[in-house]
Amino acid sequence: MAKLVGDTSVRSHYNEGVAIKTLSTSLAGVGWDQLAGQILGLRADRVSPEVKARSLTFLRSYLDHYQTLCEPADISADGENGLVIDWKQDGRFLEAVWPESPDQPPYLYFSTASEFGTEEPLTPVLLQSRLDWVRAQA
Amino acid sequence: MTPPTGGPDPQLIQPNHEIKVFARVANGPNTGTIKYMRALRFLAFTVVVIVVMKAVGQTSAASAGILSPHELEAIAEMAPQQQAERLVERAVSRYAGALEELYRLLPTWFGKLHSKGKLETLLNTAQSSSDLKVREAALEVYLAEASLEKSEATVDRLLRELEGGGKSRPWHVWALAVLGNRGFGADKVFGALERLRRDDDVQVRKWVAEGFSILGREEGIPYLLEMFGQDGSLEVRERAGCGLAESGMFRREQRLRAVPGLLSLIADGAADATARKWYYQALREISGQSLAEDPAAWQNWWATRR
Repeated sequence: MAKLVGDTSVRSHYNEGVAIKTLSTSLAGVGWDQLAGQILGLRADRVSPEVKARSLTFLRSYLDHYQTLCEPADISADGENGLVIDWKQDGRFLEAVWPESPDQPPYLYFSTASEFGTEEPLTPVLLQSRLDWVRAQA
Repeated sequence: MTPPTGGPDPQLIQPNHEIKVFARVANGPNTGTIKYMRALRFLAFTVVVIVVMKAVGQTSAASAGILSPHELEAIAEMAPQQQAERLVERAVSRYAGALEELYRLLPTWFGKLHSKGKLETLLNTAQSSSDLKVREAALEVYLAEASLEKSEATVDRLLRELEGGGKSRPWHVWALAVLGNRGFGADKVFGALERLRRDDDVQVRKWVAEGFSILGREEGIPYLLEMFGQDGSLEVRERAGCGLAESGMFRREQRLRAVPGLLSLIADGAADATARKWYYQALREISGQSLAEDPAAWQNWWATRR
């Protein structure tokens, strides 16, 4: 679980444009070395090479934009040779999912106690926005 | 291997010492293996001697290890082929200023080099250097020899030609990987390697494996592990193993990320004796450790290291 403490700078809320307090994106961030190490360390029989490559390509692109990624709660197999990266904070839950099939594009799944949904196409900007939502302080 | 048309023979453009090493081990305890073991012992002894001498401050330099003004003047008078040979040799020997002079003269060498004979030998040595900058310089010289301009347009042209088929596809794969490593069209090149890793042509797949390691992107590591563990050709598997362990343009810390995958391959009971030897050999080359062929020992080492 990410150590989301510290900065309380004001950011705009993900969807509603409501100004609320969130945490700095630079806190508890992980870089390429950690992400690549974790993803490549997943067993090959649980996450396919294609999925590892696709997710790393995306994360490289993300890090080109944002330098670090908010530390995930977990990076794991989805049980069907795909990959899931998830983040949790104060009842907000976010997953970035790379299904095994190349026909199924990666997507985000988000949920709270009262709502849930999916979003695609997964882009660095979309992920960053949702991470801001996850880390938003009420 | 049939030399591909439309470009240099890829067999001439990279060091093959790892191939020999893997092959010797694969052939079991024969003369080659014994020589290899002796070479290893000698290497280990040499390393120990160097470490000890350094520790007591007794290393003795034979020269300043710097390109002197006199030598620079002499190089300036040489023909491009001789310039390239001298500077690659000096770069391999880590002479200060050699790489700078090589890059300064490089634009004047396009279309004027022949990577045969002495230069071929030197470039093979340069590609095996433990210094990634020397390996990069070797790639640059190859591009000059092949008159390949470093540009996105060249990448696009080579991709079109690759799609067109023909016997020179292995060369195209190699050339694209080199250009990608040097910062041109890396995403497109990676996509091409992904598509071609299951090509019917063994030579294409062999150079795809080599290409992933030359490109040096970590996204290629899962594919190299897949090819190392599953390709139907031993030749391709060998190149994939070498790409993970030693050859190409990965940094050592990148190669270390292949360790969990290699441990998984070892744990897979489907691996035959040859493949298992290669997996352990790759682990030894990546790690610098000399552990036995014991999965638990390697698991413990990895767990401790992390």
